[in-house]
Amino acid sequence: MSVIARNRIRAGWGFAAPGLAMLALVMGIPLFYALAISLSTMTMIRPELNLAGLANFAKIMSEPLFWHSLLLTLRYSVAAVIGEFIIGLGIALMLRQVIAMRGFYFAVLTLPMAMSPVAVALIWRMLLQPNLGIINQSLAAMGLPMVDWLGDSSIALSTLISIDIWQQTSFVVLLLSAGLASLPREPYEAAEVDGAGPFAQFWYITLPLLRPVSAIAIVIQLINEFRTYDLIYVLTKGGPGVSTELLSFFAYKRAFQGLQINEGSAAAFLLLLIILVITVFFFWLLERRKA
Amino acid sequence: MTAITLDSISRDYGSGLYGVRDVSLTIDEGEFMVLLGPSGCGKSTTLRMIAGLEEITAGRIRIGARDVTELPPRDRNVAVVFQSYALYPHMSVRENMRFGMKMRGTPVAEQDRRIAEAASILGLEPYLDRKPGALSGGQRQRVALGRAMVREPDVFLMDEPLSNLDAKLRGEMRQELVKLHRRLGKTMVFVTHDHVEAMTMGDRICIMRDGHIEQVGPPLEVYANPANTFVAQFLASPAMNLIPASLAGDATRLTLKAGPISGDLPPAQAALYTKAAQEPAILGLRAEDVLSEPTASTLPVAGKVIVREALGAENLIGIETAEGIALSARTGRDFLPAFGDQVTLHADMARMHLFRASDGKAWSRQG
Repeated sequence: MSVIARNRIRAGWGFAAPGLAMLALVMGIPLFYALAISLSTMTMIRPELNLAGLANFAKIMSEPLFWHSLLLTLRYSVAAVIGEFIIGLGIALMLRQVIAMRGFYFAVLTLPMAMSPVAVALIWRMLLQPNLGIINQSLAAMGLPMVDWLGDSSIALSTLISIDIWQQTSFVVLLLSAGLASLPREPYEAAEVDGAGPFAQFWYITLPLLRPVSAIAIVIQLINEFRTYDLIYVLTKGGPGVSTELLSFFAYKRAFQGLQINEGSAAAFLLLLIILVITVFFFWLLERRKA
Repeated sequence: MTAITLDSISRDYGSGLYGVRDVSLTIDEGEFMVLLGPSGCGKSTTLRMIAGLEEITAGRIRIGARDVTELPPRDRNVAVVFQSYALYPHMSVRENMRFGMKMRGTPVAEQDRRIAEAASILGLEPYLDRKPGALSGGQRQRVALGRAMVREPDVFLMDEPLSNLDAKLRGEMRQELVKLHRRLGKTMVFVTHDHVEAMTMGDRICIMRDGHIEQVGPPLEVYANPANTFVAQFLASPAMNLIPASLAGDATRLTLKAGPISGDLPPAQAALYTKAAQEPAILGLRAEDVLSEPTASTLPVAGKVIVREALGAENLIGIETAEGIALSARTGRDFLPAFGDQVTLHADMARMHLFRASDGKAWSRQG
């Protein structure tokens, strides 16, 4: 290796070092500590760190509730991401046509994203309140039956997904708008001359060219959805029953309500593992397409 | 019938800004018409208006017997080769070529036949399954051409398709395009800012400036008889020498005074330019008409050598006269003075051009 190359690498590490050190401090150490706990007998009642191998993992994976939570998390995340992507793409495509007041629309559309999930959940809890909430009051005023949005186990999950979509779509709009803005103009003109109408242009040009940005938007949102916790905590606490108990909430309950912090950590680690696998898979897919 | 008729077309961008203003031009069936001009002259805009990619704010366009002014691009049956090629980056070469036919519902067997034929003409067979990103500039250029060919359009529109190629490839593609035009016999409109492309490829050239047409005609005719100083200067490199001049006398003896060049004009020129004797004029001399040796029709001009480009087959010599007038000459390869040398060149007045100083129009065109 030449001196120049070596110096360049050294300088690179030099610049990255402070950031890496900070990351290690606030992310690496807690992560490692959690891993240690998940492999130990430690509980809130007996907080000693004695290694127990994979026993905690085996235990939670033998429980039907864990598999129920995992399945629920998958359903929740996939449904939310599909909704966010379709609506987000639609809005981004419409915004692309808008010239007047474009900045205003962007500002309004990004407002939900700027709000804390807890605030969003609190607002929706008021709106969805079964008797006094504005939504049910409106339904009643129109002579329609009132709905127990969060108390009915058959629709509580769908309600949560809808709220999630309401808040998270704006991020997808932003990402896809940036992607659309960076698309070259020429292939569209070529397609116009080639005889492609608006729908054919969307299907054969826009969608394929937008694929890399779409993949990134989907990965980021999937990760986000897998981690969903605040909405559940404020709105349903996993209920009614366990009908909205996502994996993150399962881990929380196990650690802080059941006081089995070792099993809670194991569940959290499994969640992390799933997210890692999804991320690696998507980027592998993206790289393969590029090649 | 696939002649193209532009009838007083304009592209008004609002607030008095025009891309193209009141342009009328008829391009004959099967003709290779070159739109030539500097950046911003409206040549690409004109082409895009024919394609339907640019709005026409006034005037009509007909392709063949059809008035296409209001038609979208897909209904005009034209094919466009873009400067940037505008290939679909996510499709293979084969899919790029197929797309237009697919959109028009051409049967698949026919699509395959046309792709195979175009690929064989353009030498693209080995690359049919590659994506544009894996091709060189020249290959992409061919794919863009192939995509236009397989559509079997009435008209080919090409927007500076050679400008992104290196000099050698550009020369080759120039010849290939001319061959292709002869083979297909289709009407082609070719936009360029390169006068060499215009001279070598066009059946006729149309020189544009500031959104309007300056002159239309076969290349050699335009070269020999430029309508004004703009055309005279644009259609050659080095540009035509232009020197403020005045004439005195009559048809029997007409004397020219143009900076360092002065003397009697040959009888033919004297007869042609007699009327010019009343007002200020501009003398135009092409570089190849400034000679290193005197002849019967030359007038001498002396100066110091300030430009000296030996091109191998010929030399470009630039001199500056005592009056501060610069003059360029294209000389034989044996005439190669050193920088700063005092030399005497010889302006061939039998090949002179004369323009009116007030508006730059050629005197010979004013009858």
